[in-house]
Amino acid sequence: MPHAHTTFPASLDALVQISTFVNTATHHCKMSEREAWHVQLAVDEAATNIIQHAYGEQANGTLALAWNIDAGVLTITLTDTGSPFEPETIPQPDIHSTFEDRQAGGLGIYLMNKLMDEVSYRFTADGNELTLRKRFAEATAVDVQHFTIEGRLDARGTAVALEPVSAAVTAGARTVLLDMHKVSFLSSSGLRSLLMIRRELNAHQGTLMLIALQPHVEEVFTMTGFSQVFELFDTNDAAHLALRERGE
Amino acid sequence: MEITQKRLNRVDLLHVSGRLDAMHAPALRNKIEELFAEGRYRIVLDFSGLEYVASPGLRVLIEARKKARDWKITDFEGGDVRLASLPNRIREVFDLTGFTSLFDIYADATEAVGSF
Repeated sequence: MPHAHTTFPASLDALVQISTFVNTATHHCKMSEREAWHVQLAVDEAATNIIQHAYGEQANGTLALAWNIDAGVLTITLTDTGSPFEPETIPQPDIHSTFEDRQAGGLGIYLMNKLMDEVSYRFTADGNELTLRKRFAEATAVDVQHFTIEGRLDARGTAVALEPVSAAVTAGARTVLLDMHKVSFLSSSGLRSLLMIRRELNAHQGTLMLIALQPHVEEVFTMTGFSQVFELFDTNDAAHLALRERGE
Repeated sequence: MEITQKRLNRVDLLHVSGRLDAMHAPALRNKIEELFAEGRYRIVLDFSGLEYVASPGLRVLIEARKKARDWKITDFEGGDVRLASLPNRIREVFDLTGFTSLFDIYADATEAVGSF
């Protein structure tokens, strides 16, 4: 469970350092750039609020920041000893009001709530504690699905031969390797079915690789120009090496 | 944050780059107040180099536009603060906070200047 904590002077000068500290947390989560930026902005708003309102004019205040990551949730806690924060006293901005009626306040808290999954306050012996939580998608190892295709990929045989592949793609398979060494014949209907599988995978940023084509099957790809469209590999190892090089 | 100013005939163009957060928002407010004090109420803020905006920055924008619009030549012509070249991240904050519909936002500074 990665975690860290540190204390900053409660001063606007510290906002950039706070942002750097938060950056290490979002980096650990391997969050998308957009999610990471949401967390950055939410913490910036929270810290600004504490520096400007909890401490007001008071100098020498401190702001303690801590983060931890557990079960796909990033939790960031800000603790200060300034005056207690009463979120219910802050008016909610009406984001649909006209320019003339629009009030300038309340945006910081509004943004925090919008950008994070959970925002909560607690008053403890150590001071005011503000907790921000954000769920993130945990990076999982890429699930590579292998199929050995057999027989004739012609008008009659294609549907049956490729049916398990189509089913896996529909069920969410994203990296699909087809071992073609037992395919003895490929017709245009076989090609068409492979193209449809490829298109479906591409639509979900997936990958289709064809491995170990027999020479006369490979010739069909070359003649039709589809050797430029499909990713063809001589061996299973070559396909896996290509996946590793892409970081998949 | 850095502000560079370009004085055009009728309009002042401010290129604002870097972080428009609580620390730096007052500098932008001061710059705009200076222009108002000179009687310059037609302002374009070019945000192409803006990396970050937080609520204190948004506050400055809304207050500046309110003041600029109080200055009127006729019922149809007067001051305004118009925005140009919002990077995607900044645009997202504008969308979240309802600011997109509060401002006239242009694809680039030339278009924004030309709108006056």
